Amino acid sequence: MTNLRQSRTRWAGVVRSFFPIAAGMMGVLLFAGCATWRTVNEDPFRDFAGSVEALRDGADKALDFSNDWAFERYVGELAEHSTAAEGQGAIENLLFLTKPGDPFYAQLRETPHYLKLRQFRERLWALNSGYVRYTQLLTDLAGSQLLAKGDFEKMAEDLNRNIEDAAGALELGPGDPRPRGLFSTLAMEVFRRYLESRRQEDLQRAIQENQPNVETFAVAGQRAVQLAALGLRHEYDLRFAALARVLTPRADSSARERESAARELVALDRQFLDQLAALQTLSQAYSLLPAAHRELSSAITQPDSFRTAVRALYDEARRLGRLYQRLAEKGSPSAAEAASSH
Amino acid sequence: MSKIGMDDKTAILQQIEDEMNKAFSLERAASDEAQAKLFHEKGEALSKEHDRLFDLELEAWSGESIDLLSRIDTSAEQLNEDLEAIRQGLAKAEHLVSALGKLDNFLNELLRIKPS
Repeated sequence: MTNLRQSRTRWAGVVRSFFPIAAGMMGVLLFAGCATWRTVNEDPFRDFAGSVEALRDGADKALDFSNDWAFERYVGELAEHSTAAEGQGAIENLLFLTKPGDPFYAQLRETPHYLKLRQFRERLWALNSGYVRYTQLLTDLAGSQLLAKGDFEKMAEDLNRNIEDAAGALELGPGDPRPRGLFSTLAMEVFRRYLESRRQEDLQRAIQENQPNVETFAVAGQRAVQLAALGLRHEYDLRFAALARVLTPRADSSARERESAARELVALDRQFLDQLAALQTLSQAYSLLPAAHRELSSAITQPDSFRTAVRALYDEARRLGRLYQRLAEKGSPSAAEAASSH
Repeated sequence: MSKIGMDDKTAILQQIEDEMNKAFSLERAASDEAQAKLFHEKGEALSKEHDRLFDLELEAWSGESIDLLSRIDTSAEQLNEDLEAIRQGLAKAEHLVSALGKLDNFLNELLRIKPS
Protein backbone atom coordinates (compact mmCIF):
# COMPACT_ATOMS: atom_id res chain seq x y z
CA MET A 1 0.00 0.00 0.00
CA THR A 2 2.89 2.30 0.86
CA ASN A 3 4.62 1.36 -2.43
CA LEU A 4 1.46 2.18 -4.38
CA ARG A 5 1.17 5.50 -2.57
CA GLN A 6 4.84 6.31 -3.33
CA SER A 7 4.42 5.34 -7.00
CA ARG A 8 1.32 7.55 -7.42
CA THR A 9 3.10 10.43 -5.71
CA ARG A 10 6.07 10.04 -8.07
CA TRP A 11 3.72 10.06 -11.13
CA ALA A 12 1.98 13.12 -9.78
CA GLY A 13 5.32 14.88 -9.65
CA VAL A 14 6.05 13.92 -13.24
CA VAL A 15 2.66 15.17 -14.35
CA ARG A 16 3.12 18.42 -12.43
CA SER A 17 6.43 19.09 -14.18
CA PHE A 18 5.06 17.99 -17.58
CA PHE A 19 1.84 19.96 -17.27
CA PRO A 20 3.10 23.53 -17.80
CA ILE A 21 5.20 22.45 -20.82
CA ALA A 22 2.29 20.63 -22.47
CA ALA A 23 -0.12 23.43 -21.69
CA GLY A 24 2.31 25.94 -23.14
CA MET A 25 2.74 23.85 -26.32
CA MET A 26 -0.98 23.56 -26.73
CA GLY A 27 -1.35 27.30 -26.27
CA VAL A 28 1.28 27.99 -28.94
CA LEU A 29 -0.37 25.51 -31.31
CA LEU A 30 -3.81 27.00 -30.84
CA PHE A 31 -2.55 30.57 -31.09
CA ALA A 32 -0.63 29.83 -34.29
CA GLY A 33 -3.72 28.11 -35.67
CA CYS A 34 -5.98 31.03 -34.84
CA ALA A 35 -3.62 33.39 -36.63
CA THR A 36 -3.38 31.45 -39.93
CA TRP A 37 -6.29 29.01 -40.03
CA ARG A 38 -9.08 29.86 -42.44
CA THR A 39 -12.27 28.05 -43.08
CA VAL A 40 -14.20 27.81 -46.38
CA ASN A 41 -16.44 30.73 -47.31
CA GLU A 42 -19.70 29.01 -48.18
CA ASP A 43 -21.51 32.08 -49.56
CA PRO A 44 -20.18 31.82 -53.16
CA PHE A 45 -21.11 28.12 -53.18
CA ARG A 46 -24.64 28.98 -52.08
CA ASP A 47 -24.92 31.73 -54.72
CA PHE A 48 -23.59 29.37 -57.38
CA ALA A 49 -26.05 26.58 -56.50
CA GLY A 50 -28.95 29.05 -56.35
CA SER A 51 -28.02 30.44 -59.77
CA VAL A 52 -27.90 27.00 -61.36
CA GLU A 53 -31.32 26.22 -59.92
CA ALA A 54 -32.71 29.49 -61.35
CA LEU A 55 -31.15 28.60 -64.69
CA ARG A 56 -32.84 25.19 -64.70
CA ASP A 57 -36.25 26.73 -63.93
CA GLY A 58 -35.74 29.48 -66.52
CA ALA A 59 -34.82 27.00 -69.25
CA ASP A 60 -37.90 24.94 -68.44
CA LYS A 61 -40.19 27.96 -68.65
CA ALA A 62 -38.61 29.06 -71.94
CA LEU A 63 -39.26 25.67 -73.52
CA ASP A 64 -42.75 25.51 -72.04
CA PHE A 65 -43.68 28.60 -74.05
CA SER A 66 -42.34 27.49 -77.45
CA ASN A 67 -43.71 23.98 -76.83
CA ASP A 68 -47.19 25.47 -76.46
CA TRP A 69 -46.85 27.23 -79.81
CA ALA A 70 -45.63 24.00 -81.45
CA PHE A 71 -48.53 22.04 -79.94
CA GLU A 72 -51.10 24.57 -81.15
CA ARG A 73 -49.59 24.46 -84.64
CA TYR A 74 -49.74 20.67 -84.64
CA VAL A 75 -53.42 20.67 -83.66
CA GLY A 76 -54.18 23.40 -86.24
CA GLU A 77 -52.44 21.54 -89.07
CA LEU A 78 -54.12 18.28 -88.09
CA ALA A 79 -57.55 19.88 -88.39
CA GLU A 80 -56.68 21.84 -91.54
CA HIS A 81 -55.23 18.88 -93.41
CA SER A 82 -57.77 16.30 -92.23
CA THR A 83 -59.58 16.48 -95.58
CA ALA A 84 -56.45 15.52 -97.52
CA ALA A 85 -54.82 12.08 -97.68
CA GLU A 86 -51.69 13.42 -95.99
CA GLY A 87 -53.76 14.73 -93.10
CA GLN A 88 -55.42 11.31 -92.72
CA GLY A 89 -51.97 9.79 -92.40
CA ALA A 90 -51.21 12.15 -89.50
CA ILE A 91 -54.47 11.15 -87.80
CA GLU A 92 -53.70 7.44 -88.24
CA ASN A 93 -50.31 8.12 -86.71
CA LEU A 94 -51.97 9.36 -83.52
CA LEU A 95 -53.22 5.85 -82.75
CA PHE A 96 -50.90 4.11 -80.28
CA LEU A 97 -49.56 0.76 -81.50
CA THR A 98 -49.89 -2.45 -79.50
CA LYS A 99 -47.29 -5.11 -78.75
CA PRO A 100 -48.28 -8.75 -78.13
CA GLY A 101 -47.75 -9.73 -74.49
CA ASP A 102 -47.18 -6.17 -73.27
CA PRO A 103 -50.41 -4.52 -72.08
CA PHE A 104 -48.53 -1.33 -71.12
CA TYR A 105 -46.98 -0.77 -74.54
CA ALA A 106 -47.89 2.54 -76.17
CA GLN A 107 -45.81 3.70 -79.10
CA LEU A 108 -46.58 5.89 -82.09
CA ARG A 109 -45.39 5.00 -85.59
CA GLU A 110 -43.74 8.36 -85.85
CA THR A 111 -43.18 10.81 -82.98
CA PRO A 112 -44.78 14.18 -83.83
CA HIS A 113 -42.61 17.29 -83.69
CA TYR A 114 -44.35 18.70 -80.61
CA LEU A 115 -43.67 15.46 -78.69
CA LYS A 116 -40.00 15.57 -79.65
CA LEU A 117 -39.88 19.09 -78.25
CA ARG A 118 -41.46 17.81 -75.04
CA GLN A 119 -38.85 15.03 -74.79
CA PHE A 120 -36.11 17.60 -75.37
CA ARG A 121 -37.51 19.73 -72.56
CA GLU A 122 -37.53 16.71 -70.21
CA ARG A 123 -33.92 15.87 -71.09
CA LEU A 124 -32.80 19.44 -70.48
CA TRP A 125 -34.59 19.42 -67.14
CA ALA A 126 -32.87 16.13 -66.21
CA LEU A 127 -29.45 17.45 -67.23
CA ASN A 128 -29.91 20.71 -65.35
CA SER A 129 -31.24 18.83 -62.31
CA GLY A 130 -28.17 16.59 -62.32
CA TYR A 131 -26.04 19.69 -62.26
CA VAL A 132 -28.19 21.27 -59.53
CA ARG A 133 -27.57 18.15 -57.43
CA TYR A 134 -23.81 18.45 -57.98
CA THR A 135 -23.80 22.13 -56.91
CA GLN A 136 -25.93 21.34 -53.85
CA LEU A 137 -23.47 18.66 -52.76
CA LEU A 138 -20.60 21.10 -53.28
CA THR A 139 -22.47 23.56 -51.06
CA ASP A 140 -23.03 20.85 -48.42
CA LEU A 141 -19.33 20.07 -48.43
CA ALA A 142 -18.43 23.77 -48.18
CA GLY A 143 -21.20 24.52 -45.69
CA SER A 144 -20.54 25.63 -42.13
CA GLN A 145 -23.04 23.03 -40.90
CA LEU A 146 -20.69 20.18 -41.78
CA LEU A 147 -17.84 21.12 -39.45
CA ALA A 148 -19.64 23.62 -37.30
CA LYS A 149 -17.28 25.06 -34.70
CA GLY A 150 -20.24 24.94 -32.36
CA ASP A 151 -20.25 21.12 -32.48
CA PHE A 152 -16.63 21.01 -31.38
CA GLU A 153 -17.27 23.58 -28.68
CA LYS A 154 -20.16 21.45 -27.43
CA MET A 155 -17.87 18.43 -27.31
CA ALA A 156 -15.37 20.48 -25.32
CA GLU A 157 -18.09 21.64 -22.93
CA ASP A 158 -19.27 18.05 -22.39
CA LEU A 159 -15.73 16.91 -21.69
CA ASN A 160 -15.04 19.77 -19.31
CA ARG A 161 -18.27 19.03 -17.49
CA ASN A 162 -17.20 15.38 -17.14
CA ILE A 163 -13.82 16.45 -15.86
CA GLU A 164 -15.41 18.87 -13.39
CA ASP A 165 -17.68 16.05 -12.22
CA ALA A 166 -14.68 13.76 -11.85
CA ALA A 167 -12.86 16.47 -9.90
CA GLY A 168 -15.90 16.84 -7.66
CA ALA A 169 -15.99 13.11 -7.05
CA LEU A 170 -12.31 13.21 -6.15
CA GLU A 171 -13.08 15.98 -3.63
CA LEU A 172 -10.34 18.29 -4.84
CA GLY A 173 -9.65 21.00 -2.35
CA PRO A 174 -9.31 24.75 -3.03
CA GLY A 175 -5.50 24.48 -3.10
CA ASP A 176 -5.50 21.66 -5.60
CA PRO A 177 -4.60 22.31 -9.24
CA ARG A 178 -7.59 23.09 -11.47
CA PRO A 179 -8.70 20.06 -13.48
CA ARG A 180 -7.81 20.39 -17.19
CA GLY A 181 -8.92 18.68 -20.40
CA LEU A 182 -5.39 18.78 -21.77
CA PHE A 183 -5.34 15.91 -24.27
CA SER A 184 -9.00 15.98 -25.16
CA THR A 185 -8.97 19.71 -25.97
CA LEU A 186 -5.83 19.37 -28.06
CA ALA A 187 -7.18 16.31 -29.86
CA MET A 188 -10.40 18.11 -30.64
CA GLU A 189 -8.55 20.99 -32.25
CA VAL A 190 -6.25 18.65 -34.16
CA PHE A 191 -9.25 16.70 -35.47
CA ARG A 192 -11.14 19.82 -36.42
CA ARG A 193 -8.17 20.97 -38.44
CA TYR A 194 -7.67 17.58 -40.00
CA LEU A 195 -11.31 17.41 -41.11
CA GLU A 196 -11.24 21.03 -42.29
CA SER A 197 -8.12 20.31 -44.32
CA ARG A 198 -9.71 17.13 -45.71
CA ARG A 199 -12.84 19.10 -46.64
CA GLN A 200 -10.79 21.75 -48.42
CA GLU A 201 -8.80 19.12 -50.33
CA ASP A 202 -12.01 17.33 -51.37
CA LEU A 203 -13.55 20.59 -52.55
CA GLN A 204 -10.46 21.64 -54.51
CA ARG A 205 -10.24 18.22 -56.14
CA ALA A 206 -13.96 18.20 -57.03
CA ILE A 207 -13.73 21.66 -58.60
CA GLN A 208 -10.59 20.86 -60.58
CA GLU A 209 -11.78 17.46 -61.79
CA ASN A 210 -15.20 18.74 -62.78
CA GLN A 211 -14.08 21.89 -64.54
CA PRO A 212 -14.04 20.16 -67.99
CA ASN A 213 -17.52 18.71 -67.30
CA VAL A 214 -18.80 22.14 -66.32
CA GLU A 215 -17.38 23.61 -69.51
CA THR A 216 -19.11 20.91 -71.58
CA PHE A 217 -22.29 21.43 -69.59
CA ALA A 218 -22.20 25.18 -70.29
CA VAL A 219 -21.77 24.50 -74.03
CA ALA A 220 -24.62 21.96 -73.92
CA GLY A 221 -26.82 24.46 -72.08
CA GLN A 222 -26.04 27.22 -74.57
CA ARG A 223 -26.73 24.85 -77.46
CA ALA A 224 -30.06 23.89 -75.89
CA VAL A 225 -30.97 27.57 -75.60
CA GLN A 226 -29.88 28.13 -79.22
CA LEU A 227 -32.17 25.27 -80.29
CA ALA A 228 -34.98 26.72 -78.20
CA ALA A 229 -34.46 30.08 -79.95
CA LEU A 230 -34.47 28.42 -83.39
CA GLY A 231 -37.66 26.55 -82.50
CA LEU A 232 -39.29 29.69 -81.16
CA ARG A 233 -38.33 31.64 -84.29
CA HIS A 234 -39.87 28.95 -86.52
CA GLU A 235 -43.14 28.99 -84.61
CA TYR A 236 -43.14 32.80 -84.65
CA ASP A 237 -42.52 32.94 -88.43
CA LEU A 238 -45.37 30.50 -89.11
CA ARG A 239 -47.75 32.44 -86.86
CA PHE A 240 -46.68 35.66 -88.50
CA ALA A 241 -47.30 34.21 -91.99
CA ALA A 242 -50.77 32.98 -91.00
CA LEU A 243 -51.79 36.38 -89.58
CA ALA A 244 -50.21 38.38 -92.40
CA ARG A 245 -52.14 36.22 -94.92
CA VAL A 246 -55.37 37.65 -93.50
CA LEU A 247 -54.03 41.15 -94.11
CA THR A 248 -53.08 40.79 -97.81
CA PRO A 249 -55.08 42.80 -100.40
CA ARG A 250 -56.19 39.54 -102.08
CA ALA A 251 -57.56 38.06 -98.84
CA ASP A 252 -61.30 37.94 -98.49
CA SER A 253 -61.20 39.32 -94.94
CA SER A 254 -63.72 41.64 -93.29
CA ALA A 255 -62.59 44.89 -91.66
CA ARG A 256 -63.16 43.30 -88.26
CA GLU A 257 -61.04 40.26 -89.16
CA ARG A 258 -58.29 42.53 -90.42
CA GLU A 259 -58.28 44.59 -87.24
CA SER A 260 -58.19 41.47 -85.10
CA ALA A 261 -55.32 40.02 -87.16
CA ALA A 262 -53.38 43.31 -86.96
CA ARG A 263 -53.81 43.34 -83.17
CA GLU A 264 -52.62 39.73 -82.90
CA LEU A 265 -49.66 40.48 -85.16
CA VAL A 266 -48.46 43.30 -82.91
CA ALA A 267 -49.01 41.18 -79.78
CA LEU A 268 -47.11 38.33 -81.44
CA ASP A 269 -44.11 40.59 -82.07
CA ARG A 270 -44.14 41.67 -78.44
CA GLN A 271 -44.36 38.09 -77.14
CA PHE A 272 -41.59 37.00 -79.44
CA LEU A 273 -39.29 39.81 -78.25
CA ASP A 274 -40.02 39.00 -74.60
CA GLN A 275 -39.22 35.33 -75.06
CA LEU A 276 -36.12 36.07 -77.08
CA ALA A 277 -34.84 38.43 -74.37
CA ALA A 278 -35.35 35.71 -71.76
CA LEU A 279 -33.52 33.16 -73.93
CA GLN A 280 -30.66 35.59 -74.45
CA THR A 281 -30.31 36.08 -70.68
CA LEU A 282 -30.40 32.32 -70.24
CA SER A 283 -27.65 31.84 -72.81
CA GLN A 284 -25.54 34.52 -71.12
CA ALA A 285 -25.99 32.81 -67.75
CA TYR A 286 -24.86 29.44 -69.18
CA SER A 287 -21.77 31.11 -70.66
CA LEU A 288 -20.79 32.44 -67.21
CA LEU A 289 -20.89 29.02 -65.54
CA PRO A 290 -17.30 27.82 -66.23
CA ALA A 291 -15.64 31.00 -64.91
CA ALA A 292 -17.93 31.04 -61.87
CA HIS A 293 -17.18 27.38 -61.12
CA ARG A 294 -13.43 28.01 -61.45
CA GLU A 295 -13.73 30.96 -59.08
CA LEU A 296 -15.15 28.73 -56.33
CA SER A 297 -11.57 27.58 -55.69
CA SER A 298 -10.74 31.03 -54.39
CA ALA A 299 -13.54 30.72 -51.83
CA ILE A 300 -11.37 27.98 -50.28
CA THR A 301 -7.93 29.57 -50.54
CA GLN A 302 -8.97 33.23 -50.17
CA PRO A 303 -12.30 33.25 -48.33
CA ASP A 304 -12.56 37.05 -48.32
CA SER A 305 -11.68 37.67 -51.97
CA PHE A 306 -14.26 39.22 -54.30
CA ARG A 307 -15.64 36.87 -56.90
CA THR A 308 -16.68 38.65 -60.09
CA ALA A 309 -17.90 35.67 -62.15
CA VAL A 310 -19.98 34.16 -59.33
CA ARG A 311 -21.51 37.58 -58.72
CA ALA A 312 -22.21 38.08 -62.46
CA LEU A 313 -23.82 34.64 -62.69
CA TYR A 314 -25.92 35.35 -59.62
CA ASP A 315 -27.05 38.69 -61.11
CA GLU A 316 -27.98 37.04 -64.43
CA ALA A 317 -29.96 34.36 -62.59
CA ARG A 318 -31.86 37.00 -60.64
CA ARG A 319 -32.50 38.98 -63.81
CA LEU A 320 -33.85 35.84 -65.46
CA GLY A 321 -36.16 35.25 -62.50
CA ARG A 322 -37.47 38.81 -62.77
CA LEU A 323 -38.01 38.46 -66.53
CA TYR A 324 -40.13 35.35 -66.09
CA GLN A 325 -42.02 36.87 -63.21
CA ARG A 326 -42.94 39.85 -65.41
CA LEU A 327 -43.84 37.56 -68.31
CA ALA A 328 -46.20 35.70 -66.01
CA GLU A 329 -47.93 38.88 -64.88
CA LYS A 330 -50.71 39.95 -67.20
CA GLY A 331 -50.25 43.42 -68.62
CA SER A 332 -46.75 43.67 -67.27
CA PRO A 333 -44.13 45.79 -69.01
CA SER A 334 -42.33 44.04 -71.82
CA ALA A 335 -39.55 41.71 -70.71
CA ALA A 336 -37.45 43.19 -73.46
CA GLU A 337 -37.87 46.63 -71.88
CA ALA A 338 -37.10 45.16 -68.46
CA ALA A 339 -33.98 43.51 -69.85
CA SER A 340 -32.74 46.70 -71.46
CA SER A 341 -33.30 48.68 -68.25
CA HIS A 342 -30.63 46.60 -66.41
CA MET B 1 -19.85 16.04 -76.72
CA SER B 2 -17.95 18.26 -79.12
CA LYS B 3 -20.83 18.08 -81.59
CA ILE B 4 -23.20 19.80 -79.20
CA GLY B 5 -22.00 23.31 -80.03
CA MET B 6 -21.89 22.91 -83.80
CA ASP B 7 -22.81 26.05 -85.65
CA ASP B 8 -23.15 24.68 -89.21
CA LYS B 9 -26.45 22.99 -88.35
CA THR B 10 -27.72 26.28 -86.98
CA ALA B 11 -26.70 27.99 -90.21
CA ILE B 12 -28.57 25.38 -92.30
CA LEU B 13 -31.70 25.73 -90.17
CA GLN B 14 -31.55 29.52 -90.45
CA GLN B 15 -31.12 29.28 -94.21
CA ILE B 16 -34.23 27.09 -94.50
CA GLU B 17 -36.09 29.52 -92.25
CA ASP B 18 -35.11 32.44 -94.50
CA GLU B 19 -36.19 30.52 -97.62
CA MET B 20 -39.52 29.73 -95.98
CA ASN B 21 -40.11 33.35 -95.04
CA LYS B 22 -39.23 34.40 -98.58
CA ALA B 23 -41.76 31.91 -100.00
CA PHE B 24 -44.50 33.17 -97.65
CA SER B 25 -43.62 36.75 -98.52
CA LEU B 26 -43.92 35.96 -102.24
CA GLU B 27 -47.23 34.26 -101.49
CA ARG B 28 -48.52 37.50 -99.94
CA ALA B 29 -47.25 39.55 -102.88
CA ALA B 30 -48.58 37.15 -105.55
CA SER B 31 -50.92 38.65 -108.12
CA ASP B 32 -53.10 35.58 -108.59
CA GLU B 33 -54.32 32.60 -106.54
CA ALA B 34 -52.42 29.98 -108.53
CA GLN B 35 -49.11 31.74 -107.95
CA ALA B 36 -49.94 32.31 -104.28
CA LYS B 37 -50.81 28.63 -103.85
CA LEU B 38 -47.49 27.65 -105.40
CA PHE B 39 -45.47 29.81 -102.98
CA HIS B 40 -47.63 28.71 -100.06
CA GLU B 41 -46.89 25.06 -100.79
CA LYS B 42 -43.21 25.84 -101.15
CA GLY B 43 -43.25 27.59 -97.77
CA GLU B 44 -45.01 24.64 -96.13
CA ALA B 45 -42.57 22.16 -97.63
CA LEU B 46 -39.67 24.22 -96.28
CA SER B 47 -41.35 24.33 -92.87
CA LYS B 48 -41.60 20.51 -92.88
CA GLU B 49 -37.94 20.27 -93.82
CA HIS B 50 -37.10 22.63 -90.96
CA ASP B 51 -39.09 20.46 -88.54
CA ARG B 52 -37.35 17.31 -89.79
CA LEU B 53 -33.82 18.71 -89.40
CA PHE B 54 -34.71 20.42 -86.16
CA ASP B 55 -36.01 17.13 -84.73
CA LEU B 56 -32.73 15.46 -85.68
CA GLU B 57 -30.84 18.21 -83.84
CA LEU B 58 -33.03 17.78 -80.77
CA GLU B 59 -32.42 14.02 -80.83
CA ALA B 60 -28.67 14.51 -81.24
CA TRP B 61 -28.59 16.94 -78.33
CA SER B 62 -30.65 14.60 -76.15
CA GLY B 63 -28.42 11.61 -76.95
CA GLU B 64 -25.25 13.50 -76.06
CA SER B 65 -26.81 14.98 -72.92
CA ILE B 66 -27.29 11.44 -71.55
CA ASP B 67 -23.51 10.93 -71.60
CA LEU B 68 -22.92 14.29 -69.91
CA LEU B 69 -25.58 13.60 -67.29
CA SER B 70 -23.91 10.30 -66.47
CA ARG B 71 -20.59 12.14 -65.93
CA ILE B 72 -22.27 14.71 -63.70
CA ASP B 73 -23.94 11.90 -61.72
CA THR B 74 -20.55 10.24 -61.20
CA SER B 75 -19.15 13.52 -59.83
CA ALA B 76 -22.12 13.85 -57.50
CA GLU B 77 -21.55 10.28 -56.25
CA GLN B 78 -17.91 11.12 -55.52
CA LEU B 79 -18.94 14.21 -53.58
CA ASN B 80 -21.44 12.13 -51.62
CA GLU B 81 -18.64 9.74 -50.67
CA ASP B 82 -16.42 12.67 -49.60
CA LEU B 83 -19.20 14.03 -47.42
CA GLU B 84 -19.80 10.61 -45.88
CA ALA B 85 -16.06 10.18 -45.17
CA ILE B 86 -15.96 13.51 -43.34
CA ARG B 87 -19.08 12.65 -41.35
CA GLN B 88 -17.51 9.31 -40.37
CA GLY B 89 -14.30 11.15 -39.45
CA LEU B 90 -16.33 13.41 -37.23
CA ALA B 91 -17.87 10.39 -35.47
CA LYS B 92 -14.38 8.86 -34.96
CA ALA B 93 -13.12 12.18 -33.59
CA GLU B 94 -15.91 12.15 -31.02
CA HIS B 95 -14.92 8.64 -29.89
CA LEU B 96 -11.25 9.50 -29.63
CA VAL B 97 -11.86 12.77 -27.84
CA SER B 98 -14.08 10.93 -25.39
CA ALA B 99 -11.30 8.36 -24.77
CA LEU B 100 -8.76 11.14 -24.28
CA GLY B 101 -11.14 12.78 -21.85
CA LYS B 102 -10.76 9.68 -19.67
CA LEU B 103 -6.99 10.08 -19.85
CA ASP B 104 -7.40 13.70 -18.78
CA ASN B 105 -9.48 12.53 -15.83
CA PHE B 106 -6.72 10.15 -14.84
CA LEU B 107 -4.12 12.92 -15.07
CA ASN B 108 -6.29 15.19 -13.00
CA GLU B 109 -6.54 12.48 -10.40
CA LEU B 110 -2.74 12.21 -10.30
CA LEU B 111 -2.47 16.00 -9.96
CA ARG B 112 -4.71 15.81 -6.89
CA ILE B 113 -2.16 13.71 -5.04
CA LYS B 114 0.24 15.93 -3.14
CA PRO B 115 3.87 14.78 -3.09
CA SER B 116 4.83 13.81 0.44
